[in-house]
Amino acid sequence: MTWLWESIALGLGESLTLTNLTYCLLGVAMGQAIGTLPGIGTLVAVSLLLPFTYHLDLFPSLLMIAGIYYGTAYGGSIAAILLKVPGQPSSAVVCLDGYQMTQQGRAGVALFMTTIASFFGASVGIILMMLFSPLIAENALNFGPWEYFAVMTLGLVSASTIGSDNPIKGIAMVVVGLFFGTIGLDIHSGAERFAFGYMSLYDGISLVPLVMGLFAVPEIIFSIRTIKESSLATKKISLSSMIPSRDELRRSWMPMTRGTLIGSFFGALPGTGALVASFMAYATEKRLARDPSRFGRGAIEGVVSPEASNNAADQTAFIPTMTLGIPGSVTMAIIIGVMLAKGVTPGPTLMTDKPELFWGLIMSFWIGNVILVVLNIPLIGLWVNLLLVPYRMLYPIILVFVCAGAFLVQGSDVDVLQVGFFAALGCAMRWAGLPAAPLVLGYILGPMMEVQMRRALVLSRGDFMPFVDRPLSATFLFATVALLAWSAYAAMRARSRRRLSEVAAGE
Amino acid sequence: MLSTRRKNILTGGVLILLGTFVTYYALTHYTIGQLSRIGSAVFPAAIGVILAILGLLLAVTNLVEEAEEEQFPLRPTVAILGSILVFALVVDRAGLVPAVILLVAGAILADNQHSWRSGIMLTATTAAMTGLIFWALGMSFTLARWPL
Repeated sequence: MTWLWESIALGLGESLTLTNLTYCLLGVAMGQAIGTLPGIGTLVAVSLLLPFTYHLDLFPSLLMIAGIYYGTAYGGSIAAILLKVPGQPSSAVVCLDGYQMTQQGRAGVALFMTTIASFFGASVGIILMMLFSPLIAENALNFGPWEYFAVMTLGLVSASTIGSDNPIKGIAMVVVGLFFGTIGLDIHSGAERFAFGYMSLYDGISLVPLVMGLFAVPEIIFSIRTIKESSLATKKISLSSMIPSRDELRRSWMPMTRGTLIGSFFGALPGTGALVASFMAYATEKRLARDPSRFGRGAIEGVVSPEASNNAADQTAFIPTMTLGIPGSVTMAIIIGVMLAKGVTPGPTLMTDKPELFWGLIMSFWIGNVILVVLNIPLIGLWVNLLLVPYRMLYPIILVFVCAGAFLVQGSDVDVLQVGFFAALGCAMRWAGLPAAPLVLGYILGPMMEVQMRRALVLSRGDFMPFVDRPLSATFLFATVALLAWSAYAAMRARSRRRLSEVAAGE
Repeated sequence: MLSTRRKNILTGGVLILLGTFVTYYALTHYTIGQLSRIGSAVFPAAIGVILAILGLLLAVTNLVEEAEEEQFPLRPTVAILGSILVFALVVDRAGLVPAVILLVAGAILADNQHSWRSGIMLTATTAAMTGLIFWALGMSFTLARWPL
């Protein structure tokens, strides 16, 4: 176990410097604020921050992006509990019982217990990451290009099919993303691809305009009319009102633990994440409860379990990202994109090549989570006031951040025009019901996949057999095919069930 | 309002066109190489083929989707995409502050919840803040330029 203590010491040394602490604090505070505000999601927050990371070193950039990411999970429950409006999609399920608790005058307890549950879930998630990452990385060290290609294919397919009504749309968007990834100079031959003579496209499409255009702008456009001003039921949350009763504490332990386990599992799985985890946790508690009718009427179990779950999921999502370089969600893909832009490739060698980065990041998660507990218990009043800022004042300011931020990266109006292009594409995709997240995953993983495929073919002299001969590669590809078959089956079954119900309704 | 079914047929058609174009363009413009050393055309060409197949599948299968019935927000879309375009056109010629003023003014038009007074206040504050932040960060960008 000495390696663990040594790693912890190394990580603490890296993350406890004054500058790094400041960036960690900045990140989680921004995450908390943005998580609190309904209508501004994690991705909008991360994309607003991206331009600034171009002028920072890698480690502080990662601290801030990661801080925003797990900070939003804490903030998201505040609006859910006080307004019945989820600050984040993964807090939606907390609305059910959280808002009921507010109406019963127990808002303080709900806010306190979600913070405790969040901290508990996140802590377990971090411990799992510390224990499992070295194991996975060690086993992945003998990955050849075949295994990388296969595992990336599996990651892309699972991220675009699981939890989707129409898996064809998700996969199609991955492929469109792969296409956007090929634009620019080809690394192998130096040939220009799909730049059509425009010099500004030779470097490829950059991450900032892509993410801002596809996520931030359409989210603003589609929120303007849907977010209505809401009034707060309770304006003052006193510290004494936050103390839970002995009975509430006793009821919370097991749901918190179960939620954490569910969240840890779904977080590490590519394609699922905090949202799925929180719904699964809630459903589990409702099924296990002795009296399920309490749910939806202010049951504390329905608040703590999903919150523990989504925070655990947010942390374990880093395991595949850091050890294999396979992102399970768009935020993870963005983190990989930022690392690649700074010349660091995440993967099994990361822990041996840059242990200070890996362990420093993990230790910063602990620090960030402690800061978040402080922000959420003694300083809760601050965030409650933030809920009073109307959306009509917020969205023009977000838009200024988007445009000025994109401009800031290189001081070029081409980047702003690209934001405009991807924003138009993003709106069209929303109209057509096409998901944007798989596109970004494809865009980031595409160039890596092409490199691995070409390397594999060079090594095997043009032979495709190693992809199915090598046991690990074959397993990944088999899992991919099984997943495709399963989602096709599920989609067809849903169709025939609807036919049946239509026939039944017609009679 | 188009039904989900029709939207999917339309989207499928667009994907087929895009896929065909990508494959055709890659095969005619970039090197193909041999299997043991594939050229820069192969990966995009393969992507194009897969994309066209998926487009076809999307158009012909009629899968059940829980479509959210959301009215397409035409006015916000036009106002916000338009103001981004204006920002991009103005920022190099006139500087950051005038571009931000036009951007916020355009964004406010996306919605009818602002009075003249609050609109002007918001525009002025945002422009002043942006100017201040960029000046404080020591960014060497033109804040405003006159005459153009």
